[in-house]
Amino acid sequence: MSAPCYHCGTPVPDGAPWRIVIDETPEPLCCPGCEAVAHAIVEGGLANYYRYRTELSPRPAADEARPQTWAAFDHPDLQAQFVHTGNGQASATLAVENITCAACAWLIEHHLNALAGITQSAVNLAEHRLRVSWDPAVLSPSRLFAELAAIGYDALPFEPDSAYRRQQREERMTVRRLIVAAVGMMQVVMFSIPLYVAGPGELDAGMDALFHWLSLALTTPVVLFSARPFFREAGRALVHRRLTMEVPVALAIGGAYLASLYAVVTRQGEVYFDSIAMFTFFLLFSRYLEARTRRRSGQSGNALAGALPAAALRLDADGGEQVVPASHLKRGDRILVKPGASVPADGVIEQGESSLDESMLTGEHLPVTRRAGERVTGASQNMENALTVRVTQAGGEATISAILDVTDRAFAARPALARLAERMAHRFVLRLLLVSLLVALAWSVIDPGRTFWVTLSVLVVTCPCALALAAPTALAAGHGQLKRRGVLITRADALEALAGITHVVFDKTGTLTRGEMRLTATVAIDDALEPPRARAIAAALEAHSEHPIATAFRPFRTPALAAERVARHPGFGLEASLEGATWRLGRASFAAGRALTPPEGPGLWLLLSEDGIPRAWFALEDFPREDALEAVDRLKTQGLCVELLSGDTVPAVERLAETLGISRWQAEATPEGKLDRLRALQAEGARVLMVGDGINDVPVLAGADVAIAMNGATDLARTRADALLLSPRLMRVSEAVEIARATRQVMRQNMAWSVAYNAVALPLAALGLVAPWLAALGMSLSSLVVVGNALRLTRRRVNP
Amino acid sequence: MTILYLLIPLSLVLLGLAVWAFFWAVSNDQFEDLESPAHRILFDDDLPAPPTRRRPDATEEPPP
Repeated sequence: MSAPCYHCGTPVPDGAPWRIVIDETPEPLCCPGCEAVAHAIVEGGLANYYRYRTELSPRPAADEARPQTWAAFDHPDLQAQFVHTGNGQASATLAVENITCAACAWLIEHHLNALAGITQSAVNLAEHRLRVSWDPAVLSPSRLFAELAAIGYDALPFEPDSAYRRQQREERMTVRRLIVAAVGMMQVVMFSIPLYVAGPGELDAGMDALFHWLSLALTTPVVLFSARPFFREAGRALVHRRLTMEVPVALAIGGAYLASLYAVVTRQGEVYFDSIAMFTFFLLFSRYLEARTRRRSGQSGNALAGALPAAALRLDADGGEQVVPASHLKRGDRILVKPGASVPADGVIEQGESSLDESMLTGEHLPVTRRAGERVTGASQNMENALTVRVTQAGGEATISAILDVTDRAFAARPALARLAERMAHRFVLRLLLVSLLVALAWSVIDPGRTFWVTLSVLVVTCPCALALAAPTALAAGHGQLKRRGVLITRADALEALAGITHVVFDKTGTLTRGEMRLTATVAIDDALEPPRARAIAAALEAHSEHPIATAFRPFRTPALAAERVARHPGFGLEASLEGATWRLGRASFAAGRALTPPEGPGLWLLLSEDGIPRAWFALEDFPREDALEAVDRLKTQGLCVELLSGDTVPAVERLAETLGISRWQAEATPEGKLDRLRALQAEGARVLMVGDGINDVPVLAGADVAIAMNGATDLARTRADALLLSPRLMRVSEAVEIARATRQVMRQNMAWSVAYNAVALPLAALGLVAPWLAALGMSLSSLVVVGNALRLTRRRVNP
Repeated sequence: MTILYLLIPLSLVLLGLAVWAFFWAVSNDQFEDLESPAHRILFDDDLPAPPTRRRPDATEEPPP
């Protein structure tokens, strides 16, 4: 193969005609899609994008039905859901797919800003969202989507759902609490330093009282405002008769504050204001970091995700076509499904015959043929000919909703995770409280006057600061590290679950494989036709088809050959005339008119015939991803059992399992069948990581201990997964396991450290030997050790 | 040391201002996206690039 495609990096077929001239150097491109995008970028004056980018661009989708979907976004009902207007301006937020690096943001913003009518556009790189405002008199929303597609980005309207809004509100509140705690901490520590360094009698009484009262005044908002979540969560835990980490935290903050308040008012005893403020700040900060690294990206949190997947072409009684959102379809409507479009609802074909790609629903990688009178399922893709379909089930009644039902049940029955930190916390807190009680009892016998102060110093010195920080700091570092590598964790305890898995179950089509057909062998039958020419002819025949078989021939297209009078015979193949001869490509029985035995070898064999004479055989296969073998091997060396569960046919699954060295596999599995297998594994005590992408994987994703969705996964699969791969690299799965294990390791070290620290500090405090400044110092140092240890996680090198 | 009786209230006022400014920033989306701006400044718009625009809508653009 020659040089890789300048735009997307995939190999360029020999003799491919597509080029882009940059700096007067012609660069090769792999397909017309890349060519269109590259030209749009360069001719828009944005060739610097190629200079800035640090990641290759994704290959643009060649989907001719998309303009229809965009047209539906102009529908007033749909626009009302995501376009906000005011002052003659329209604005919207879009979830943009395929953003790979910072240069993408530059490209999108510059491309859009150059358009007439756009007033502002800003890309949020962390969440892969675009906020854009425009003049509705000049531009329609569909134009925005078309312009984004022209430079290679798919977009969908974004409107935050209630969970997302709540999360956003909470995050803002956390930032405010953090600011108050930070400012308070700095000032309180400043005021307490004179109290520490001054010798007895060096500070006059007035100044001493002033510093105390000031510290009190500054700590009060920190306790009442910043530390409020700890009190609330502790209260909630106690109501449910649980002991969480928040209980001793709240106890320590509350106790230390009340005691210090008492000390200031009565002018006797010790104050702990600086410790309170520091402790609150450190805890809040680590929690904020952890929450931020888990921020959702792209489509997740989109209230419109379920409502938007498709536009439908509804046929009126008088034969007119009307673009409507799929959610508006009703039983009995007649719809037209063009080739390349996805079927918007379940129905029966009234007219036409075509092949449909149901791989998202069933996992089968080859399309199935459907004729008039046969049923079609919503969410499958029409490949060849236009179909007129009468809707039988739309919206909540459709097949896809039935799969969702299974999913909800699986989700409810998900194995509960006993969280390491929570278990530790419960035991620890219980003992701490018991010890404090014993100390209080003992001192009430020895010296009743010191009981309160000694008990408090026990609570403060053993204050579970380090222990409370142990988990969140390690998790924050682990989440951050994963995000940098392209794995986004969306569920809070997924990282802990990931560290404990024993089995990895993969889906086949679209997960281990790319989900697209590739030509693997060409066998000429006689010398009349050389293989390269045979491939070029086949490519010319398939030139205008959206069928997955056609995409396999796409790289071999040559501009010199053009087929005429192409006739498609769904389920059999196609026929066309080219250079005076009639060519057929498809099943042997169709192409040659009789059954022929294909050559030995794996894959799907197609025959090319010229005027009925067999000329060449082609083998097509759905290829595994480049790093599939490496990833499976690595997972095995990590001590994990790898399994393959697919809805595809036995030979296809068997062959892939063999190639990748997976000994346990199951083919032709229904969504329920996959879930059953998962349940069987879990019943044997396995903890299962599921990696999948399609709608048929959704129930298993929901039922698995941990679920990872591929970057090309359906929205449905993404919402049921605990983590998303942001790039189509399977090695990220094994890296995620590795990092999860390292994170667990750090968490355990942190906990061991804080428990050891407490074991030393507790007896000293119990004996009344710890001065308040020593308690504060010890607490801060132990916290710093924990934070520093967690930061080690972020220093791991990122492999390309 | 009596100067402290002036400086401390002064510092408290500044403190209040700082908190107010931060709160203002939070409610005005300044903390929403902490990643993109860091990258944005890295790209230089002044680098020479082919100046020609052959997009059909270029002519429709109103003069700035």
